[in-house]
Amino acid sequence: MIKHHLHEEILMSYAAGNCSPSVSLIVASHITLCSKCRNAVSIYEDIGGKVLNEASPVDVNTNTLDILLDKIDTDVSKKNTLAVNKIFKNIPVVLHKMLPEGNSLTDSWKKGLGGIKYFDINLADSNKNSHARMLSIPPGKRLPNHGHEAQELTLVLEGGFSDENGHYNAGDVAIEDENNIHTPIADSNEGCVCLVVYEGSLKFKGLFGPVLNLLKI
Amino acid sequence: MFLENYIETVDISSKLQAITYRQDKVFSVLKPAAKDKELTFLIGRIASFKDKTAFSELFKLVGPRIKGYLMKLGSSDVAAEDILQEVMLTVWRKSETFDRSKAAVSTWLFTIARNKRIDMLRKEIRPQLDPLDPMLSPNQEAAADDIYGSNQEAIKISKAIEQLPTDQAVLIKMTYYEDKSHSIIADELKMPLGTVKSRIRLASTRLRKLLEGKIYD
Repeated sequence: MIKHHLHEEILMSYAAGNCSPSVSLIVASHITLCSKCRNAVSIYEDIGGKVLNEASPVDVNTNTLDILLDKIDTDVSKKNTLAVNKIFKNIPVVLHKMLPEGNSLTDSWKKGLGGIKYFDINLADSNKNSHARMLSIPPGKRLPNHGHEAQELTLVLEGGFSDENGHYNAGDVAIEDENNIHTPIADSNEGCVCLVVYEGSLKFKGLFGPVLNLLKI
Repeated sequence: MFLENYIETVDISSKLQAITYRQDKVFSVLKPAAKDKELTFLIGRIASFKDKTAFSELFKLVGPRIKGYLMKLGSSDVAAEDILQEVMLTVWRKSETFDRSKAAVSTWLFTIARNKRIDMLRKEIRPQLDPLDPMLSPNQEAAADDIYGSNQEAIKISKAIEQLPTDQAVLIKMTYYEDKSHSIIADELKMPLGTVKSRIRLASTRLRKLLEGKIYD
C-alpha cells in the first residue's frame, strides 16, 4: 500500500506538459504503481482537454487536409507493441526502457563507496538541468544526515528506507525540499533500489546527495 | 473494448449519416464545439475501418480548434500547422488506443497535442506512463470520469478558473494557457519557487472541487 504520494502541483505540471524530463520520468513511474495519483493526473488532463475545447478555432490551411490524406494513404501503421518487462519485475516499463540491459538489474551499474551502485539515466541531451539516477543501497546502510538546497524526488522500487519522516516502501515517493535535514537508512533485509531525480544545478544535493556527489567524481 | 463503444454509438452514426446524405452539410449542423459522442463515433470509424471520410470529418471538426489551442500556447501559424499534422497522423495511427471509458475525446486529443508540442517545439524526451504496463496497479478509486463525469460538458474551465482567488488563477492560467514550468513562473512573478508550488497545490485542490461541483458560488 502506497503511503507517500507526489504533490498535486507536480502531478498537474506533468499533465499540463510543462515539467522537466526527469520529473516526467518519476511521475510516469510512480503513477504506474499508484492508482490514486494516476487518477489525479487524469483529472488534470481533463482540465487540459477543457482548455483545448474552449480555445478559439483558427482556420487551417486549405491544403492541410489533402496533405494529411496523402500521408495516411502511404502510412504503414505501427502496431502498438508492449515492451514486456521480463527481467526486472519491480521496474515500470517507462523506466525499464531507460536502463541498460543485463541479467540482473545492477549488473552494468557503476560501483560507488560503501557498496552503493548507481546508474545515470541520460536526459542531458534534451534538458541539461534535468537529472535522474538509479541507486542501489546495501541493506542497513546509513547515510550521513544532510540538508537540501532544492527539491529532490526519490521513488522506491525495491526494498525500502526509513528516515525521520517515516518509512518508504516500494512505490512510495520521498519529497525532500529546501532545508530538510534527515538521516536515511536502507532497510536491513533487502536494502533499497530507487530512482532519484533532481532539477537545476549539476549536483545532487538531496536525500542521497552527499553520497551521490561522492560517487560523481 | 472498442466494439462496445461502436455499438453504443450506432444510433448517433445513423443520424449523422442521415444528415450527411440528406444535405451534405454535416459540419454546419454540428455545434462549433462538437460533442464527445459524435467525435467518439468518428474515431471509432477510423479505428475499426480506417475510414478516411470519418478522418476528414474529424479533421474539420477538431483541426481548427487544435490549431487555435496551439497558437494560444504560443506557436506560430506555421509551427501550429506542423504540429497539427502530426497530431492528426497520431490520431489516425492510434485511434484504437482511444478508450472512452477512460477519457473524454478532448482529453485524448489534448494529451496527443501536448506530447507532439513537447516533441517538436522543446525537443525534449517525455517519459510517459505505458498504459499496457503489466505493473500497472489496479484502480482502487472511481475513474476520473465517474467523479465529475456528469459535469464534464457543463462546467467551463475558464469559468472555474475565474472562481479561484486571483493569485491562484494566475498560476493555473500560466500552467495551462502559457505552458510555463514552476521555475519559469517563479522567475516571471519574482516569487520564491516554494510559494509558486504551494499556491498551485492549493489552487489544484480548489479547482478539482469546483469541477466536481462541490463548491457553489
